[in-house]
Amino acid sequence: MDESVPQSDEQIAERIQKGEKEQFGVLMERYDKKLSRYGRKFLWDKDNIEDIVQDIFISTFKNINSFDTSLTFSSWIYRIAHNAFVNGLKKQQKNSLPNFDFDIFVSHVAYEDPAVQEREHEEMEKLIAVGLDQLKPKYKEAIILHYLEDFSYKKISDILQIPTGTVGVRVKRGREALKKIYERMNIETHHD
Amino acid sequence: MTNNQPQKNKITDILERIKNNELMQKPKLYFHLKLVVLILLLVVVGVVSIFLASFILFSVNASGHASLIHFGMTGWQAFLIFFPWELALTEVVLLILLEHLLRSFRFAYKTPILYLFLGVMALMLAGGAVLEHTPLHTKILQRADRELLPPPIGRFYEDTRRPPARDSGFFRGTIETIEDSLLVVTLDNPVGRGTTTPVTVRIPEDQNLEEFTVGDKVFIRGRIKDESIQAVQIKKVNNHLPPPPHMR
Repeated sequence: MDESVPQSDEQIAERIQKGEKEQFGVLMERYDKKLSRYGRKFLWDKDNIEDIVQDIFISTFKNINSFDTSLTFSSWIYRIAHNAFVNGLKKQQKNSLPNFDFDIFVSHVAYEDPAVQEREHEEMEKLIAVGLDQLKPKYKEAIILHYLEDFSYKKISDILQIPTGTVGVRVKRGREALKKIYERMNIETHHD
Repeated sequence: MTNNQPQKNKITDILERIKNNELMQKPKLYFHLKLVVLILLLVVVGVVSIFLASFILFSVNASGHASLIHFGMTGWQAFLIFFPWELALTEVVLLILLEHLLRSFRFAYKTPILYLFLGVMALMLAGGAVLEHTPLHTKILQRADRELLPPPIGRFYEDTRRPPARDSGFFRGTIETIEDSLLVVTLDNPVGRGTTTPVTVRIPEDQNLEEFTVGDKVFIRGRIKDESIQAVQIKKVNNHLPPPPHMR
């Protein structure tokens, strides 16, 4: 195989499944910083985050044969990461992410408009910097995955294993909550 | 030490452990077997759930309790009182378990919980209704009557035909004779084991004697005193089976 041609995560995962175990290093290089950054939104202890990222990689390697290479690798590894960080969060605080939520009971309409979202992204960066830690965990994780990790609703739906419409609702409610927090803190937002 | 150093150490360490075979991948077979176990579990829970749903329908029909709803509000109340709620609750638990197992699949976690639950429930009830129309339960019931089933299952089947208790105000029986404004009815409702004393039933004023013929199975709402019932309402019952041998 031509090593000079950049390969997708899914192609590399397939090579690992076929026995090229050393290729796992490439995936770790690609996801190390991303997962650490993702973990920092849940946890504060840097050493703990690094330990959890290491566990995520070990779990990913052990279970790589369960990965369906026709699906997205990023959603799959973030699903493992999500579970690991939520467990880390549970150890850190008692009332973290509830397993059950009424949002996933009925269907919601989720619509992603790329033009609106690009505009929102700039505004959201400011709002997130100010109020992310004050959000309810279920909104916080949706906001992190959508605005900071740049995942689509569909991929977030696979990571959190909830309906796509519910992701849309959580992102919308999280965004509204952030705006309220921002206003409460008496900081002016700029509307174009 | 640079910021990247711990990350590099972590990656190198994991690669080293992979190289030394300290970290092993779980084989594909493991995940295939896991999927097979999950599917088997789904099938088992699904089959039990369909069987239970059909048994609930069968017991409501076999006891004749389904006919109670024709007695208006009081009949509905009685129907709800006699409904096998313990079995229905068990069915709900099975449906929740089924939904929980299904959520391991992508199509299921992408579906809102309520819709998935209603879908599973509709499927199990439809399956139950189809199964109830087969002779399966009647055949098992016959085995129960011949005491060929182990006690808990046999008792379950015998109880399907249990008539309401006498103090419920509802009586089930068969018309033996018709005289003037009186019916002589052999009640299924037991006083004691093996008691089948016929009772006289005075029919309500708004009901006509011609509605009834000897041999009709009826549900009677009324009050019993000295083996005589002053009926408020009498309705013919279809489909219900005779009480189990020890109650006859």
